[in-house]
Amino acid sequence: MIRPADHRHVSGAVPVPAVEAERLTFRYRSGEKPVFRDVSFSVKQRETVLFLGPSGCGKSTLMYCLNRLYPDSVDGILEGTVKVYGQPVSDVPAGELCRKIGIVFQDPDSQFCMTRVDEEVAFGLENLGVPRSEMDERIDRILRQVGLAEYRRERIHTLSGGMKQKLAVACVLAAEPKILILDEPTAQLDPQSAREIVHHIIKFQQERGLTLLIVEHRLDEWIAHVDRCLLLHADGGLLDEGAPRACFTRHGKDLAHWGIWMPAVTQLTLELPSSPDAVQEELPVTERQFIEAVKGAESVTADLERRLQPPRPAEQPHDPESVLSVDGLTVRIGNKTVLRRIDLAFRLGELAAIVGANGSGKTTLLQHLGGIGHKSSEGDWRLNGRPPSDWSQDELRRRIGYVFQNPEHQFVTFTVFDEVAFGMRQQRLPESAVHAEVRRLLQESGLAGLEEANPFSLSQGQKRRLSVATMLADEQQWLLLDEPTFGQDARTSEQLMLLLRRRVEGGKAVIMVTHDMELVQRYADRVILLMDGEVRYDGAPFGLWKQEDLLSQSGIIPPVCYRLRMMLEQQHVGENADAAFRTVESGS
Amino acid sequence: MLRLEQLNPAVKAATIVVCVLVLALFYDPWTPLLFLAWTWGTGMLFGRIHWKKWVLFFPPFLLFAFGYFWTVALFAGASETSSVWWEWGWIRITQEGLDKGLSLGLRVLAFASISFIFVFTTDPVHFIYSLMRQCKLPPKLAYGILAGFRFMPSLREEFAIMKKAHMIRGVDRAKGWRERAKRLGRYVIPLLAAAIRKAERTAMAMESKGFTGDRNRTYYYDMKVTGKDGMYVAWMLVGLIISVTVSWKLGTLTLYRIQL
Repeated sequence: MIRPADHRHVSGAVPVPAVEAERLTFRYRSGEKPVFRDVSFSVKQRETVLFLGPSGCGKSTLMYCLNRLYPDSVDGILEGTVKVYGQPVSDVPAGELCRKIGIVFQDPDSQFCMTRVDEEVAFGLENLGVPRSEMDERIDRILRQVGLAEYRRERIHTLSGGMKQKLAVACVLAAEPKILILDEPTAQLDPQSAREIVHHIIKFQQERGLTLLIVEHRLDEWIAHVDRCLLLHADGGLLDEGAPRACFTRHGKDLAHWGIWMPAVTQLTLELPSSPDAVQEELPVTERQFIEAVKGAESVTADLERRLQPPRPAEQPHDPESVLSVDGLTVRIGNKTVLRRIDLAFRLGELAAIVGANGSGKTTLLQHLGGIGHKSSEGDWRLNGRPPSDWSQDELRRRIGYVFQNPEHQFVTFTVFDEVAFGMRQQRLPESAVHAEVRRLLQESGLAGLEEANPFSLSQGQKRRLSVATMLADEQQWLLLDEPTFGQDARTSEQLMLLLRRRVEGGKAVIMVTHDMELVQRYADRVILLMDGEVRYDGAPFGLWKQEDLLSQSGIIPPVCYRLRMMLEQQHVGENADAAFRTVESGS
Repeated sequence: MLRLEQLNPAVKAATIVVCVLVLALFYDPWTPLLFLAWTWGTGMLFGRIHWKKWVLFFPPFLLFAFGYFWTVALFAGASETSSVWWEWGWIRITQEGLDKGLSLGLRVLAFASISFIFVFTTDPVHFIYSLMRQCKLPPKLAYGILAGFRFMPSLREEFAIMKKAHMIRGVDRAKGWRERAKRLGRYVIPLLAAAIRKAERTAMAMESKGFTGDRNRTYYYDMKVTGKDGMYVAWMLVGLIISVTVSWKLGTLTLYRIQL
């Protein structure tokens, strides 16, 4: 896509690139293996560039080097030069660079230093030396633009994750930079908030002519706006660059192998057995491209239809006594009713997903099912028909496992091996049996060879797999998980889901909270939609996608195969209507 | 009208220090008692402090003060000449011990009250800004402290989640003091690891917004010292002088050093 160039900064015909990186190499210590090496690229003004690469390839580090956070704030050695609008960044005084390059980080909780919303925006203005008399007006203006005007005097920690990220964008844009680096700004948000953030940033880009450099895992919201992809390989070198379609087409297999998330449409296209050759030759990255490419091929429609009817495993004979249920569950926290008269029963041999907007009570419900809920609740909880008073904490924990959102919270020992062995040792199993079982589980979770590592030193994906492995070790019949694939790469997510699926097919039960509808469509037998603390849908995933009102109220987008199926159908209807219209016209 | 909430926080804090130092010179029950009354009056007249706050925060100090009083009244080495006020078995309370105890107990309450007046009427963020302006606190330190404030609520939430997470792992099934000590370590390390990571990220975010730690910056809150602050200092000093004078007229004024 060619946009009108910004000529303000140069007199010549060719505008100066917004960012130029020349032969960048970064290492933490001399002689050490570099995080990335020999990376050169150039970004045009107003261009949107997406950086892709396997986790650990140094994408984020590269971004930090562009605005000199590295090596200014971290011990490290950077070779090569970075120029911003033709000026080497090393010549820009510290404290001035933020007028040229702004950066929004991933974690909504750790990019603020003040207590209240207005103070945080003011902090940036203070740094720039903006006179106090101008601050109020500028704070108001920028907060209005991100839709936070009413929250001006709120405390930041009371805001939702999505609102915090909006505030982060506001703070950065208050310095009026021309270049914006986005380091996974939506990675920790639910889909609804992610969409809003992307919408705001794209709007700002159009209004202010921003240049965007994006590192992101979830691409669906961004991809339609991306001009160019830069692909880094695992060793930290630049592998390829090009328009998104070309890049994904050339490297689809590598990306899948490295566990890089692709746009859902692209992923689907690779998996569809029937997609015409034309589609495989140039992979679509947006739904529109997909629809145009398949040209209404019947086989594709049939394929999509088949995917929507998830393959069900043969019904396992299960113990009818084994039921986990809540009856009339109502939970109030403070004066807010978080859950209202919930009646649910779960059976073994079932993978159930709990979905809903942020604040709809998903985690509270899951914790109650796991017997670690809020104390002030009404209603009955029963496991196998027996109330909590009939269960000792010990017995309960041997039956119900629970995996928290942040795996670190659950680590209780100092090596990976001890971590998995912990539960079994507490049950006083013989050490030889413990050893054999731990080895098996570590093998299964892809953690073999890391026995002596400290759990805290593992990568995000490894930590998650370890936290699940500790629960598998105790062989609980009921496994409850709070957003198990959150922040994971594509491959880890898939491995994890297959692991859970195997358990379910082995006659155990999995209940998980998730925001990922692709996951629900592919792996869940049953989906429960919560809205304002009430169950609004309980049944097969396919049935939920049809409930358009419910979905839009909860900010849920149905999975890509459903959306494509509907688009194809509408196109079909549209063509028929067109044909009918033409007949009528010619008749008259 | 003087409003405690609008005063300069650094001046308010300095006033506390002065009052505490002066009060510490006197060793009789009347001076701190009178000053205590003066402080309460000041809070009621010029501050908007909800009574619930007093009710909530005062009792611990009351208990502490009473403990002080009781110990000193019982065990202070009173001279033989001092008149005995009450005697029961080995418990012997002299007039002198009683005075000393009351004096120390009331002193604790007076210190607590004047500090409460500060804490309940001062926004901590304003206080830090005021320290930067009036006391030349380096911005690096000041904004570091402010960033630290933000960690408190999240630390508490995290701790609550961890307690549940450890319950799930069956850590609480562990018995015995050795296991319990281990348990503490299990809480501290993840919390610390998370806090360090968070601090690093926050520092980077601050730097990326152009923070250099330089004093050459503007300030969102303009913390000036005005005539009202002078009035407040004068008002509190008047309170001190009145307390001391009344006590002196009553003939009870005792200087700390003389008592030793």
